[in-house]
Amino acid sequence: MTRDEELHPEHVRTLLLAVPAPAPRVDVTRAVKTARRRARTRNAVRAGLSAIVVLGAAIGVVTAVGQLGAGQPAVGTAPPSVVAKTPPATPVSTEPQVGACQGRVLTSPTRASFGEIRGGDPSGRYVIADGVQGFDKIAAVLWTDGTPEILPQPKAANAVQANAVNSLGVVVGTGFGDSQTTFGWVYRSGATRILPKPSGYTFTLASGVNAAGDIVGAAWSRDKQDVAVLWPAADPERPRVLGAPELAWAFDITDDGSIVGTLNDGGSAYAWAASGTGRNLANPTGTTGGKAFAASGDWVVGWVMPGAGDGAGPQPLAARWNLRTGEATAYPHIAGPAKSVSLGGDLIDADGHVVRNGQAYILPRPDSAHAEPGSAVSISEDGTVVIGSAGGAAAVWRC
Amino acid sequence: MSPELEQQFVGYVSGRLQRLHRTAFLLCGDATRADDLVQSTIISLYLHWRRAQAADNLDRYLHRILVRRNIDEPRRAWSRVLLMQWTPERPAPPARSVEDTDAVQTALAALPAGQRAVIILRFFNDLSVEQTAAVLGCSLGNVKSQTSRGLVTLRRLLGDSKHEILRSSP
Repeated sequence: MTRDEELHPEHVRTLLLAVPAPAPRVDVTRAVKTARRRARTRNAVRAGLSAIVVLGAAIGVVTAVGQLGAGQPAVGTAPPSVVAKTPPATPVSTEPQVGACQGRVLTSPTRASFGEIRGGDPSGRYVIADGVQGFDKIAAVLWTDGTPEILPQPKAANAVQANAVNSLGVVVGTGFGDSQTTFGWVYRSGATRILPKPSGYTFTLASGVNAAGDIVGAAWSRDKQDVAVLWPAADPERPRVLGAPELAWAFDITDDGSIVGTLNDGGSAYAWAASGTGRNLANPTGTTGGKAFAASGDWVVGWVMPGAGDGAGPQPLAARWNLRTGEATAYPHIAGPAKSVSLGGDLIDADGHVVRNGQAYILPRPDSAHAEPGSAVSISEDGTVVIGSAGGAAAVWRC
Repeated sequence: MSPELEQQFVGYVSGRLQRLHRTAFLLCGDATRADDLVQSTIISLYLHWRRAQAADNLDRYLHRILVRRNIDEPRRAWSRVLLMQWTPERPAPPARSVEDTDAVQTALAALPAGQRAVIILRFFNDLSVEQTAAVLGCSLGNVKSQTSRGLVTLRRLLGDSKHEILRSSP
């Protein structure tokens, strides 16, 4: 190597300073307000948990498995009905309440210091996560009924990330190789395979998969804007570019073939019918923009922006649409994006709460070893199994 | 938190906002996500402020939160980092040639997450090998090997464009 080719560490600083970074749009005062609210919630959760424990001891109830809404209010004195068939008709509170769910921590496959739980399947049997092996090797982890395995990686990949799993344990995701290669992949029957690219595109990623094995995602190249892509289970070698008026991504596909995503990276939430016809998902009144991240049956969830920004950088709100009725709801007190939805319309918000009928519920910590309450990532189709993390480990709750 | 503690907190955070945001932007390559990262880092620091003040190095504690948040943030974070290079929303106009400075950003995005974090902490935030190891929770040997691998990869990815940037820098 000639001297001219060397990159001295002191030059690296200059190079990093040369990157044109935008001005921060973070308002410290606003962040403090949010933090105060979280601190109150956290304290309330602790108070609520003690109340459940005390009640359990008093009436001899060991487990509190029942409807989500049967939980102890975060603040309040009314004792919870431990097992209830229907949620109590309590008014919706803007503060999260403690859900009556029972959690269990899953065995970790690696010494991962910061693996992220990516999601679960509609049945609640499968969980996917990033596993950090050593320091920088990132692999995809799949739990089947609580047993973890590290998925094989395609040879070309130096990191893979699982994005979705279906009810048969088929996993799809994004792989990263040398020279900025990005590719969609699918894990099925013990093998991981790189998905074929649509003709004329260089990069792909896979974001969603339905029960039939239809996969959706996006493709792009340096000279072509991003397009939404469908790899049909019937003919996966021939990916289909979905028609859209502008730059588009697809994030999820339902079992009946409806696909959801976004136009212009947050310009608006978008949906394609199984026939391939696309349409904008109407914004809830007073909101702008949006992305649709997940769908189950007729329900779609994602985020929208509150219409009138207050200049401090508006935070996205959780949003929910119904493909059949056209209903569109933005939740003013619930942080977006919503990441997962059940057939009944229960959703998971950006704070890791389960939201039912507009009320947010915090997952109780799975056991006394974890100081922090749980954080949900995904909810099963029937709304009874919630996947997430607690104290840095993967966890499953029955609600 | 008492008003006095809160005032201390706001003072501390305000003084570091620009730099924290730049670190976040280098780590994740996306302006909006950098805002989100800084916001959630500040919130997390607030929630642990009493304990954080007892840390022997508060800045290191802050970096630790930021780096972990970058890896822990919601789904598809990496894909967004890579995708943003071809989406219409780009950062503020650069002072230098767009192509050259984009090359650095593009090269950073192509580094594996671990190498990227080590390079940024060591050469942008001026942390020592020991401090970087403490922030990332890994061994000294690991930081050293990540640094050298990161530098080799950057050099390869940048090719000739690095000379242009270095020449036009003050």
